Amino acid sequence: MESEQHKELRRATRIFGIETEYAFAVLGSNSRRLDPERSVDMLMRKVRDLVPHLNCGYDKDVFTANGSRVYLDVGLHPEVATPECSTPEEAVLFSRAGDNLLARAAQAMESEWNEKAEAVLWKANVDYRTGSTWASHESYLHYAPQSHFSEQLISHLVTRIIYTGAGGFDNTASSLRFVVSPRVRHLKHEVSNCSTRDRAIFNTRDEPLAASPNRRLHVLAGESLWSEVADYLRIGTTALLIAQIDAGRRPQSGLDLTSPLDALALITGDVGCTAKLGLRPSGCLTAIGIQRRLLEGVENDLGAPYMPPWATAVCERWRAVLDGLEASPSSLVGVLDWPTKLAVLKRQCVSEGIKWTFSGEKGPEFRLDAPPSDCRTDKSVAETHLLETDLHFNRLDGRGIFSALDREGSLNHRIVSPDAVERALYAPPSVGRARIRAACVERFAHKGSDISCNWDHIVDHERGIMLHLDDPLLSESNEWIPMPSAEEPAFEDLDPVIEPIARAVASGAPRRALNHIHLLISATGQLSLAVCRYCASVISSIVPTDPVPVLGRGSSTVGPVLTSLFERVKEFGNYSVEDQVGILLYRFHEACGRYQLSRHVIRQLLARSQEIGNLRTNARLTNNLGYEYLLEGRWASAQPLFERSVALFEDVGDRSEVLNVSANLLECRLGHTAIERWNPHMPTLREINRAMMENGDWRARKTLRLLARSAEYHGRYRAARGWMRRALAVSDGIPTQLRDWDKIYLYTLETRESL
Amino acid sequence: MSQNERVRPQPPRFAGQPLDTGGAEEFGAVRSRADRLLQAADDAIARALSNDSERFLQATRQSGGQ
Repeated sequence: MESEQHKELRRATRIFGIETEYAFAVLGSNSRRLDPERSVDMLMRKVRDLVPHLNCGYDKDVFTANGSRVYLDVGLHPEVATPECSTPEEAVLFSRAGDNLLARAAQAMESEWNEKAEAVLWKANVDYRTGSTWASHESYLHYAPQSHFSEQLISHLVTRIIYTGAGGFDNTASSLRFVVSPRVRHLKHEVSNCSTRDRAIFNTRDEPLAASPNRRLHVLAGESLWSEVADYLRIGTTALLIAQIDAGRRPQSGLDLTSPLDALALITGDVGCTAKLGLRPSGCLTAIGIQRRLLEGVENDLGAPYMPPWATAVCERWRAVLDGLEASPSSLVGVLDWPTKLAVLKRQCVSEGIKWTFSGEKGPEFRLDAPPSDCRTDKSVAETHLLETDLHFNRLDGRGIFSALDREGSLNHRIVSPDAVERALYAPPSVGRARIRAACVERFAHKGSDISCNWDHIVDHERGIMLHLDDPLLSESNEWIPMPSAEEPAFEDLDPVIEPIARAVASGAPRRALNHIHLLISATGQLSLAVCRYCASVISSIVPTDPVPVLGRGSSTVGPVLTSLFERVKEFGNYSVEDQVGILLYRFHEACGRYQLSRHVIRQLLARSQEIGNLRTNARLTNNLGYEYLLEGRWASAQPLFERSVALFEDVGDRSEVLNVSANLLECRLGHTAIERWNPHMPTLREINRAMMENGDWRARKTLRLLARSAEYHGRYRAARGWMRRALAVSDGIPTQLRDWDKIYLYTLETRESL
Repeated sequence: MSQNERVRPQPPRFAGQPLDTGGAEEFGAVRSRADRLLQAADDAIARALSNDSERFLQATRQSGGQ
């Protein structure tokens, strides 16, 4: 079981991080764009020159000395993801350290070109000439089911833009229109799992980068910001609400927006912050009013054990900023991004001879109004100057307007000191697995590609060993375990209890390895999670059961070993390892035809999965359970499970799995329908088969087999053989016993025709 | 004078709405800070702007990200 100490740590510690996508271009003489791909290659090379690092797959994707990740993202945008932080100050600190690293790399690369080159690196969110967007995302560790957050966080994500808006122009509008948050014009849905199109206020990406029960909420409604106060509040307020939701509280209660998308559109054009937003079932509040109610809810919980130690400080600053916005947003010029940018652009308007007008409906618009007689600037040129000013406002390379104002002491936005930012380039956060990652970067950076790193593990390819980092709160670990595929692991670094197993695997003696595992698990001594995980990976490599069983009935050692291991891993409360071992065990029972036992294991996994609210796993296990009934021909029991699984996969938006489970459901229906009455189902069968074949899904073999059976019944043996040959072709290379059954069926069809 | 050159009249003082909370002293400080900021912004913008804004925007075009 999870220790009380760890539970306490988990309760009071919030973990989060900021990802920032940057804009980058290198210009030659006369503002000529130099090769974009070469530019980012050189930028990444300079990053690697500047800081110790480990590769994450390839050389343009690295983890650095403070545990951050620097890489190229979609659209050739350089991106920095901060290490896992545990206070909002840390998140700001490491975000600014990332800014500094890239700014230095950009500056250093300018001299590498054969001509005079200017590296332009800026931190914005939209492009005014391509109409595109990129942004800054946040990740928050959480434990409650994701659906709780989509229900309880959207009103916050919508209204927080009054202090987290970057400010700028609406790049989707035909006229020049200032908006509080240019990014939100690109959010077209309330909830979706897409990040490069059909973006939503609430993103449902389910990629925890950690073991259960740890989950990661990925917020992509945010923007890259310059103000440290704004970033501090962006992270701090959201993390506090997530802490409340994790604790079962409902911060959004009574604050459900009638239409979150309409509210976003209204707030982003409302530079006075006075627009009233409709609430369900009735009433209305301003964005400031909604934020005040959320703040009061958090303040009421300040003494609760799930509130982190920094909660009071965030609340104080949150209240001060809301007070400032209510008095006048212009009182926060120099403090928040959008009021500062608005003030600068207004000033620029005066210089350009453009009058600032407020339309009332669509929000403020720039409009040329009687330019001075000696000025030949026309409206379009003046507007272009404003767009360029916005870009320069955001520049990181020392030529930026915000940076210039900051250097001159005109701003009041600081949370962290420049010295601390400098130190944070090379030192990890105070707690969590980033410390282990950073220590490995320091220790192994000189080894180059022999070591690879990721958020949740580090692999030493040379020595065939790996270190799991799947607990985000873990600050220390040296539990290196062999890679399952390693031919010659570095035995001297291993836990002595697994050394005999590793030696047996390395010398190609799987049965001996299984025996050692059996001895180890049967002993009464304490086993670590890493050792259990290693045992599971060894068994998995010896008796692969994925995607479908290929086990023989004679694997007499495997059953008892897996049964014991399953009981041992339950002690850790680590769902991912439980799931890993549980799948091995139920597949083993299934291969042996012991469906009652296989279902018993699946039900245990399902209960745990439902406990932590993982929809995708629930959907998968529900399908698995139905399939165990299907294999026994118990159609009536299988059918409702498949129906439930289809509904769950539809909820998580997994079209491929919806098709697969729909095929199972159809197989189930046809199973208890006399074949002469299959005709009404055939259009559905053909449609599912076509879609699965288009996806290249090998599981289409089952729909092809059903088509073959129907053709056979109608005496169309040639067509039936054709379906079965396609079934074997689509599953070619898949290690599954099902192919043997398909081959036998094809043989039967060939024999029957010759008769 | 080319089309891209701009006439820069003396900017007015910061025209932020008066704060309706807090004392006159606080408001004065905010206003003074804003004035300094805008003066500094004038210089920064003058240093930053290129000779041809449209060309600069075209040269720095960005593809969409996440």
